Amino acid sequence: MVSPIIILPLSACLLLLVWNIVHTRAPEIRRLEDWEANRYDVDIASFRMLVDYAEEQHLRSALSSRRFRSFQRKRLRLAWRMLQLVERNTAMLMKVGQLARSGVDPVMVHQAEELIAAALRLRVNLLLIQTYLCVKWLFPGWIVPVPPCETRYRQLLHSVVQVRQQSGESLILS
Amino acid sequence: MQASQSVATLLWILPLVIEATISFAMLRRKLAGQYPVFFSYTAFMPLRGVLLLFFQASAGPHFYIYWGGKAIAILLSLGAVFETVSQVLRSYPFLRRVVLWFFTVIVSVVIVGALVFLISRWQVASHKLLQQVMFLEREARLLLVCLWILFTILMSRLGLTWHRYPLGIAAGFAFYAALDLALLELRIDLNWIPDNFFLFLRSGAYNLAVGIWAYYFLPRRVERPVEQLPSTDLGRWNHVLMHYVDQWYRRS
Repeated sequence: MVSPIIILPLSACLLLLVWNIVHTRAPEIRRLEDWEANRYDVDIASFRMLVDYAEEQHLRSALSSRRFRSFQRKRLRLAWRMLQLVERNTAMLMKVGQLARSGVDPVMVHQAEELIAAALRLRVNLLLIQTYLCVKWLFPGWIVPVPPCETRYRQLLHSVVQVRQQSGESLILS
Repeated sequence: MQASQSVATLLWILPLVIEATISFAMLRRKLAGQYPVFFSYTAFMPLRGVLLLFFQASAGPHFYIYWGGKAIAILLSLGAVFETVSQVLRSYPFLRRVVLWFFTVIVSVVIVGALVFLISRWQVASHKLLQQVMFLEREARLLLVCLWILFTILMSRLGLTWHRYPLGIAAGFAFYAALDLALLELRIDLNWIPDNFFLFLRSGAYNLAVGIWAYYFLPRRVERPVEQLPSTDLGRWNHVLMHYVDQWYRRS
């Protein structure tokens, strides 16, 4: 009886994932104008204010613990929403980069590859930050340390960037 | 009774015709070289169908063509996972190497485990043989489902873009693997659906998968390259996020 409990949810999960990727709500990007029309303007300064430690300490001292937790959770939800919009922007930019990469100009191709690499790097960082925000939302009063696997992510990012740079250099030379 | 037989025949012939059309379309557009495993699959399945039709009166050859063809189809489906990973991650060589290595390890472990299990419990009595073969088929589908789940989650988390053709290949195979696995489980383990209904649903699921491939491969679509890159604030966002990751990490 164990296998139906595992197999049927797995099948349902895959069907949901397939539906998700096929019927994505992301706008279709075929030209630069599509990016300009669908991009989200997300203010970095506002995001900084929402996750700033000094700001958090000030609120902790000014509010009761209950009010602080409620207020902090609202700030974290807003920060999460901003990161979601940045994530969507990143996905659109990756698409733009891939469209640019299919051109013939080697300089444009190289720049497109750099754009894609930057977007991928940002994507991995977003994953780290979102995990942290999730844990902070559950425990708003805690100062939660990031787990040590973050350095492995950084090494992965560095490797990705190095490999991309190498493939980009060989493309220009050829 | 006649109507249900006609529907069953239609559901059997229709995907073979569509797959043959997809193979021709791939040859014309020179996609067969880019997606050789998927092309082999779409070429093989109609061929298998014709052979089954030809040998339908002979029980022995029909049995071997049916099950042998199914084994080849499952191997090609597994190959399609690797081909899709290879195509989609072509621009990210490090990531591609890691993912392909990881998937190879999973597949190797599962195959060895299945062989060990099979050798220890194999029974040649005919009524047990079919059950064991269906058990093997279910395990193969389970492996495919797990691989597709892992890959789609990875694609989603890294925000990598699905290109048109790999998306179509993945969607069709993943959709069919998920439905077929669920149907096999409902039929073999739970015994909730009768044989003829099981075969009808299975055929319907396969038709839907072929429909997905037809949707992605038959219409012609050209993507024009972008001539100018937009200005972005990715660098600033990266800088800010890295600053906070550093800050929170150092605090530990």
